[in-house]
Amino acid sequence: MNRGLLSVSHLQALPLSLTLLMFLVFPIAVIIIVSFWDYDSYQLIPGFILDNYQYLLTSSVTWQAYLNTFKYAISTWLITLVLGFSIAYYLAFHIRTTRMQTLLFMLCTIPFFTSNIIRMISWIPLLGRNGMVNSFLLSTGLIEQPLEFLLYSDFSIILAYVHLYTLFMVTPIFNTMMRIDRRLIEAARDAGAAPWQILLMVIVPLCKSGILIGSIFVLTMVMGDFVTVSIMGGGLHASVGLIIKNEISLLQYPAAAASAVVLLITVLIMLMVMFRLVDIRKEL
Amino acid sequence: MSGKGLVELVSVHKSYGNRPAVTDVNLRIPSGAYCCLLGPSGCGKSTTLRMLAGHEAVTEGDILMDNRNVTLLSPTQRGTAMMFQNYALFPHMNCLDNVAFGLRIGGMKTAERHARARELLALVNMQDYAQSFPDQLSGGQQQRVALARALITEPDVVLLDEPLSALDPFLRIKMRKELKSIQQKLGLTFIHVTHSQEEAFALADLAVVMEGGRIQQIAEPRELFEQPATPFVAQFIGGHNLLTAQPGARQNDQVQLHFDPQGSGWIDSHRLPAGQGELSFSVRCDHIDLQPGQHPAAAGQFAVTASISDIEFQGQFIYVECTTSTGNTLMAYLPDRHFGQLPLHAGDLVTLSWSAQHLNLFQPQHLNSTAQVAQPAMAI
Repeated sequence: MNRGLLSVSHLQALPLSLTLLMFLVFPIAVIIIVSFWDYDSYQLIPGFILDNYQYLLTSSVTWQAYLNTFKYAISTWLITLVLGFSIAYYLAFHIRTTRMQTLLFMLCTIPFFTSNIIRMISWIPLLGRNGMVNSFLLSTGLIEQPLEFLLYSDFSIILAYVHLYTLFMVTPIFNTMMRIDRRLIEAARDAGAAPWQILLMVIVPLCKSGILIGSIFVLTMVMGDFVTVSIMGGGLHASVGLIIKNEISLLQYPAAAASAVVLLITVLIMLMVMFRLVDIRKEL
Repeated sequence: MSGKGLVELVSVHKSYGNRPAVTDVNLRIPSGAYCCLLGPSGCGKSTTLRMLAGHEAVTEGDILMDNRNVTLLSPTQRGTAMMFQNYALFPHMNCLDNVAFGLRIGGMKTAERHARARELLALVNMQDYAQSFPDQLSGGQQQRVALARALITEPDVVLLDEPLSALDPFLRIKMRKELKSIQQKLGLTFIHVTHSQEEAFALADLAVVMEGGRIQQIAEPRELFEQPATPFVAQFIGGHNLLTAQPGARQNDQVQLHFDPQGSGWIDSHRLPAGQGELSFSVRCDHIDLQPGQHPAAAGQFAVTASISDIEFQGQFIYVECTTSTGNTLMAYLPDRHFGQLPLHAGDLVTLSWSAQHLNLFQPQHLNSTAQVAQPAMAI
């Protein structure tokens, strides 16, 4: 009887298990295996060598790339967090009608009607040396030389990330805010809390799960990204994703695989730290 | 007794846009009183409470506390504390931190405020649950914690928004006793919003019945039940029959009243309200006697004949619904022991009678405001 039930539930879990096995476990296993292989200019040579990792971890290029990537990730995270929280707060607590909330929320999603690449490329005529921003500032006489830092710089990379990913912060935070019982805010006010105290002692703690989910979205996406860095950085700026992409285009698959494994481990450690800070199962 | 906590509302109006929610409320609640605001949903009682709490702006008029105009002050400046309908405990804090919240806002040190919070948890018998989170508590326990949280800022006035409505009937009776005993122990003014007349009767020193944003009657519960001021009040608190009558013949200082064509009786003419024409009165269901058959009214009695349309056993009493020849419905509550001696059945013709002194005449100026109350009298 018990065995029968067991096999039925196993059967029901089978499709999902197979899907995960094929599309998650298998590719990762392949990457891990290949990361220990040798290669030359023409072929992959099966084996078990640690050279890929050794080279990776001792190269200053890698460390520089990681440093850069962390810089992008943390700046983007901070900016999207502040922006996302403020927008969500405005939508959830200042807009009274549901209709208006839905309308404004839709407005936030408009950038997503076009693809990532188009959204990024559209910054170029705006920020370029002879772009709209520079010509405007020159014509008003505010600057005499075109501003160089606007495009193909850390600034433009982070700007593009913020543009792309703020909504991923807004949505989960807005969701948790909408679930906050408005009477809690009144109760805090009744106890004499000033607006900033209500924000820090009531709203932020109750939005923790939304903040965590948004942070996971933003951090993992920035950590793994290479398109934004290559387009907005003009090929002058390195990130971990970009290194992997370059290695792949040079057919150095084992080196790319080793980089990917290290990146995966890095991101997993970041996630573990975040989950340690917020008990997501309790919050949801 | 602290001697504080005198609350006055002076010509308070509240409207949302063009829609009035509370109109012309004048009310004086003495210090240390347990006051119940009573009424059906949407009658303005919660809005009135929220205006007292400072969570709702007053459109017109003033709120005074201890002779201080507090209309524009914040809840803490007023010295009020509110207990919310679903308690609104902070889900991310344990009971101790929930109770200590008001002191934390005030900037008190952790050890000190926790000690004080423990005292208040002990007051409401929740000292063993200091570390529990709200979602681990039952409704009654949450309510006690919410009360402790409201009391920690040492308010003069505690405002309770339907505090018992989320509890099951048994717990409701238990908790209302606790509320009353804590109120008496601390000598604070409690203002309690409820839609249950039973709750108001049990708790209140002063009951305020509201309807359509206006106060219908301010009285002690006993007076409210014996002399409802308006047909609405009589209807809302239940157990009353509403009838209209025409004054007729006069003899000495007595006037004959006719109602429901064949029903009549005599009352002292000085009890008649000024003015002529139709009168409106109520009579309590438990003041009505039933006799089988048709009988004339005895001296000092009012009587009318009707046929029994329904008999219900209600435990302590028997509920008898009668219909007169003109279709008016009259209800009588007969004590069980009397009913046993009467062979009454549905369809029987009976005479309903009551003493003239049990007739509660409404003053005509009170009739206008209740013109919209057209629904038939409800039995409880």
